[in-house]
Amino acid sequence: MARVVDLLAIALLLLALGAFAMGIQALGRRADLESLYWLVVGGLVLKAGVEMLRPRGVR
Amino acid sequence: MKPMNGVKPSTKRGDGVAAMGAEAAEAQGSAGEAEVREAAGLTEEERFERRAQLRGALRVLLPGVYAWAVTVALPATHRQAPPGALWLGGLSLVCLIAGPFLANQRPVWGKILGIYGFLAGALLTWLVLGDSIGRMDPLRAALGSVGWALFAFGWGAVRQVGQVPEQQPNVLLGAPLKARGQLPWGATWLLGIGLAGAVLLVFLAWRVERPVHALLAQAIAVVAGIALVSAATSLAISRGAREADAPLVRFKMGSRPLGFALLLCVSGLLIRQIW
Repeated sequence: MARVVDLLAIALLLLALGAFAMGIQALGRRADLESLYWLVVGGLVLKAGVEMLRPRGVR
Repeated sequence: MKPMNGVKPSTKRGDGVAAMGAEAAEAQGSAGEAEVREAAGLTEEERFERRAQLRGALRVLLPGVYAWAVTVALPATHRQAPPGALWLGGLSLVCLIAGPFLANQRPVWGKILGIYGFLAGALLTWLVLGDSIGRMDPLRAALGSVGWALFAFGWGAVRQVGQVPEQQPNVLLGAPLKARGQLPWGATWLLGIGLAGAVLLVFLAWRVERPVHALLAQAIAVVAGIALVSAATSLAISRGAREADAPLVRFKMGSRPLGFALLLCVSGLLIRQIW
């Protein structure tokens, strides 16, 4: 089970990378609102991934 | 002077104090290596320390003086520059040179003088120069900024090039200590993914054409890249840690931001379908 959560955290890291990339690409396509959307999604996904790994007592 | 007991007395300094000290040690006949070196003025540890201090000072001074010469001294010595600029530039140079040497005895004051004093002097010089700073050649300014970056790195406390830690006189010799733990599986790959992702974001940011948005994209790429590398590092080393919570607790910890992200994704899909 612990390994599943680890894999989920890794998947979230990759998803966050994809979301950030989409956000910057959208900025290049002059789609500012879409860019903001993807950047917020990326930030939240990355935060979720890191929270899953935070050791006990570091909160 | 003959070497004694296989020890060559230091002749590098070549001063009278060193020679007299070595002769006195030779006369005693039973002085060991350390005693001879101490009598010569500097022990092996002190010499090592001094060399390290000199290397550290040069690491700061070489790029610092270059950055100062290109970005402060050249504009300040221009014919049309106000006279105060030269004085302030000189003051910043004094801070730059004095800082690394003072840092050997008083690290805090040395850093205050060498970093903040130098920066304050340079900033005040630029303020006094006003618009005339704009006459600087762009290429020279870019090279100067590289000098500033190297100056900043020079103040860092990294292991110096060519220095082997085991050669330090205070080192405890013996079998190398074994690591008490191992990195989790795929740690290097994860860190590599984080670094590659950060580089990819910076690459994508260069494709933004609108000037103001391009600057914003660069800033976003840097911040997101740092966050990615930091998260990848945590992922690489924290997996399988003994102090980690139970898997369900860990999942719950991440569920709130993940829930918000999912909500956003679903909303985005719906809005796209409607529009």
